[in-house]
Amino acid sequence: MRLARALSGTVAALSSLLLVADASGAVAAGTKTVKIGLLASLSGYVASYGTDERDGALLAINEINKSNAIPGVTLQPIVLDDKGDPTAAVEAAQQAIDQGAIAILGPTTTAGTAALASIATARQVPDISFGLLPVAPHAKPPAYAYSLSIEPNDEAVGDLDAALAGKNVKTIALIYDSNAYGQSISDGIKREAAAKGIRTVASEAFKSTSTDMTPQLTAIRSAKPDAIIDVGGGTTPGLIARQMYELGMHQKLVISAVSFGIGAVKFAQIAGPNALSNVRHTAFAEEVWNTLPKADPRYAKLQAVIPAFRKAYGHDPNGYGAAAAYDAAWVLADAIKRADSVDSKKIQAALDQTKYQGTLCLAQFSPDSHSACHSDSLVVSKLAGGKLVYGD
Amino acid sequence: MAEVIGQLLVTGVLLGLMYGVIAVCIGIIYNATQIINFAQGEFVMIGGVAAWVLITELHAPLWLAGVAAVAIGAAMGLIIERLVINTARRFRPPLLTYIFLTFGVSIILSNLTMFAFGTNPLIFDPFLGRAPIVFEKISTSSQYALLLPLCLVLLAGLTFFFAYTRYGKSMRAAAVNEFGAKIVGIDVGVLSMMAFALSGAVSALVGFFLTPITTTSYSIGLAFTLKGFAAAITGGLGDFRGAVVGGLIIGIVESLGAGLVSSQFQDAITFLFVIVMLVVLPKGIFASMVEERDRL
Amino acid sequence: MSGARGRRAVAEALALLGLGLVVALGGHFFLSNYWLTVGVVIAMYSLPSLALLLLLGYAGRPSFGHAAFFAVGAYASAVTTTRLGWDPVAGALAGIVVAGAVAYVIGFPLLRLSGHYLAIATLAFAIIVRVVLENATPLTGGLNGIVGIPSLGTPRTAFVLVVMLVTIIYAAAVFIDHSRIGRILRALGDDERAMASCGINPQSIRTAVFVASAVLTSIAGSVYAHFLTYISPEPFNVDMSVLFVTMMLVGGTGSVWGALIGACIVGAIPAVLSTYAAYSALLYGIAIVAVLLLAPYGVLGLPTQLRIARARLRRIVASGSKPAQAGEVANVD
Repeated sequence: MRLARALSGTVAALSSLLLVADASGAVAAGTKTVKIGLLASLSGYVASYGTDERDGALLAINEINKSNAIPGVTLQPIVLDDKGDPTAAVEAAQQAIDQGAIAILGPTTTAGTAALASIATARQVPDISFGLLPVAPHAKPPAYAYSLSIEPNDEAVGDLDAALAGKNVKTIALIYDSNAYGQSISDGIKREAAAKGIRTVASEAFKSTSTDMTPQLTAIRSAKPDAIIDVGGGTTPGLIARQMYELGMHQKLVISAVSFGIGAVKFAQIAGPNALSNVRHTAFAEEVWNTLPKADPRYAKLQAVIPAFRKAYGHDPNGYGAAAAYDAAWVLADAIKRADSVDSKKIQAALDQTKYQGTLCLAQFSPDSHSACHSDSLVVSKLAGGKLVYGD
Repeated sequence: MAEVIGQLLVTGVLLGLMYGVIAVCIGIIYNATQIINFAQGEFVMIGGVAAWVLITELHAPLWLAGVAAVAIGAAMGLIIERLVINTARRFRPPLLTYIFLTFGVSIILSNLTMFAFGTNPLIFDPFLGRAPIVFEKISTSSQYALLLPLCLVLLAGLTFFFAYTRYGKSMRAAAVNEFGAKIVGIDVGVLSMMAFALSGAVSALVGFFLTPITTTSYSIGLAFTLKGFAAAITGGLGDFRGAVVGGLIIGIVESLGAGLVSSQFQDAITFLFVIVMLVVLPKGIFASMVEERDRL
Repeated sequence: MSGARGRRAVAEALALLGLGLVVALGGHFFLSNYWLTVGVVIAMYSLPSLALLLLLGYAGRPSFGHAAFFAVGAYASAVTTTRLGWDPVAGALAGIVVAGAVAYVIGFPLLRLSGHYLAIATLAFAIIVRVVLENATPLTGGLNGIVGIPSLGTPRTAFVLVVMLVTIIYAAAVFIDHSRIGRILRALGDDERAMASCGINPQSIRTAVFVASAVLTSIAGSVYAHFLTYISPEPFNVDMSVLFVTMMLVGGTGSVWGALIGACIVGAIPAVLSTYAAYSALLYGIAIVAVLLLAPYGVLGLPTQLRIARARLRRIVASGSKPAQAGEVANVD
């Protein structure tokens, strides 16, 4: 049993050695193909984000290759499923690196990113994750020297959520998905709210598979907050908005960034037309691409990217994931170009100097900050005519 | 406080009916075959998806969508019984193997649905409109309230079927004593087919009713299966009253636990209650007359 | 233990140790990092697979909640090494103690249940443990988990280490399985009257086996924590518990080797399918159903299955009649 595996593994190992040898060294004249790992949750509970991320990244890679954005270099993605599980993410990362990947885009989840950090560092392969970096003092360089995230960190999101809820508001209630993302963002909101003198009067959790948040909302109703902030994706924001309407709760509902994994149209369909007027959302520019102010540097970019996505895949992006992965691929291409090398260490050095205008934000990395976006990358939006539009 | 508890109780009862009807579907298959079908939630999901296709894509009337969902659910049940359960039965594997076979089936069904319909949730409008039903300060959606008559009709229909019809009685007989049933000329294979078809049909009907409340998508199946399984066990496997009572207990504990104690500990409270119930009543509330034929 | 049986036990245990050594060395010299990683995962999961096999074989009890003991081991290692600065071995021992104690406490009420009732009770237990880990934030880091757990080193070192550890445990298990105690336990299964007539208290035997299975699973959890260097409560879910039982069933429950073979097959399927990316989950489901349909008694049960098929064929040839219908085949169990 194991011998057979060992043999087939040997073949894989030998072939991957050849590929690694081929991929290292400086960019030479003529086109050379380099491999990059593309890890996303293509199955499991977060597949709606993962499939979008894969599609967004592939769109960007296609553009990069067609426009010869990295002179003389063609990127070849190795697409692998991280299944929303850190063990699978680790296996996938090793597989991609063995096959000669010089950098990794993804995975989808924070847990996967955290599990990959030691591999990225040990094998000195940069990893630009689509998920948040974990919240912990040592989830930063040097331990995370090769792990970066294309997203804002928890403080950035929490800051804007609290600010948005905080207009004429003295008390807020939190309702969050009980996963790492939900907890870190809602902790961030609590800190920022406290700093602004806003009291958090209730903090309730739900599961991403929950379909009835009435018990949590009933508890919140009796705490009488001025506004409610929801952190959590998929169907849950829509269900919460609808159940608030059914319970006769008319407070402002702020839906935190990244929570619209299914798009505004679906949200409106789930929530129902009567439940939309008091909803606000801290959105990524991509979600309101059509109504952004024209002066916004992201406007022109998104005018090209979203129709291209639609043309390539026959549907709009579900949520923010496509744009995040699209940016991640371009940020990597930008770094390879500046490094003028396909050597992973040199690419990481270039990544640490990143300042790249993407569709999400002006992505910036430095040796001690590996979250690309900051709170100014998020915009305030509301629902009008079943669509998400820019503005409060 | 009274309005809080009242609201939580109402929510709990409705949640409980939802778990209860799924537990009933699990019970139908268990009664005829002693198999716990871990793809039960996928049958519910497919019913919702089928109705969604008719309503949203083909603009069919509601009743036709319901009929189509039931037909597709029954067909799915039949196909899975013939392709998987009947094939496995040739070697009479332990009951534990069937759980994992059906779990494998649930992975296949959920992934096929993902490829066919994408990862986005599917939903259509509630049958009686969006306006909630409000009494004093206690309210709920009208769609949820429809579960009550659905549940009563199901219970009455199934009780009649198993108590008075020839096939229903045969199914019970086969569950108690398969060998004896064969001797008196009951074809166990046919009964198993009927049970899967009936359970698939009822599950799909449940999915048709639930979709406006919960939405449906490739990934919702397992959560339904687990809660339905817990409800069926708490009530006493194979007893339809038990399934509904078990569902109600779980729904009410879940609602009160989240609303009054801690939403962070919601699942822990619910399942701790299930364990305590099982320790006190090791065979469920309506302890079944049918002894488990085989150890797992 | 004496005579032929004893010699067979020694031979099998030695064969396992030899095989382990060959695999560890072969892997060390010939495998790529990816296959080494897959190998570590398979070796790690082969311990819960073994734990469940012993529980089913010796106590006649299935468990749908062993992800809980896996989590206990992982968290014990993570908390003691990152917060208290303990040695990883001491951390794993802490996991063993905690998992064993928890199993002992819940074993008494839970193991009175059987069949589907026990299945849901163990499942419920695992959900409770997960919720507790999610909320004991000062200790466990809550939903954010624990980062910076000391690593097992490169995939190469990790592979050799874990394969050797697993080999030794399996060799011991083979030895015990063939010993007098093992044979008595297997023969009696959960037949309470048979046990009682031999002067054995079935309840205490069952609890002891449950504790042993929890300890084995906890060791695997410790390996997991050091292997991933990051843990959070999310992966310790129903899917993980189900995966453990699937491995055991695919291998076959008749002998200790079944747990190992099952872990290898079920662990290798996703690795082989990974190139199909989005379709790998679908293909995994198809593979599990296919294996269980072709070998409903697991891979180890195939010879018995073949014997039955051959006997049936002989009967058909002899009588010239139609093939036997469902239900006519003798129960192989």
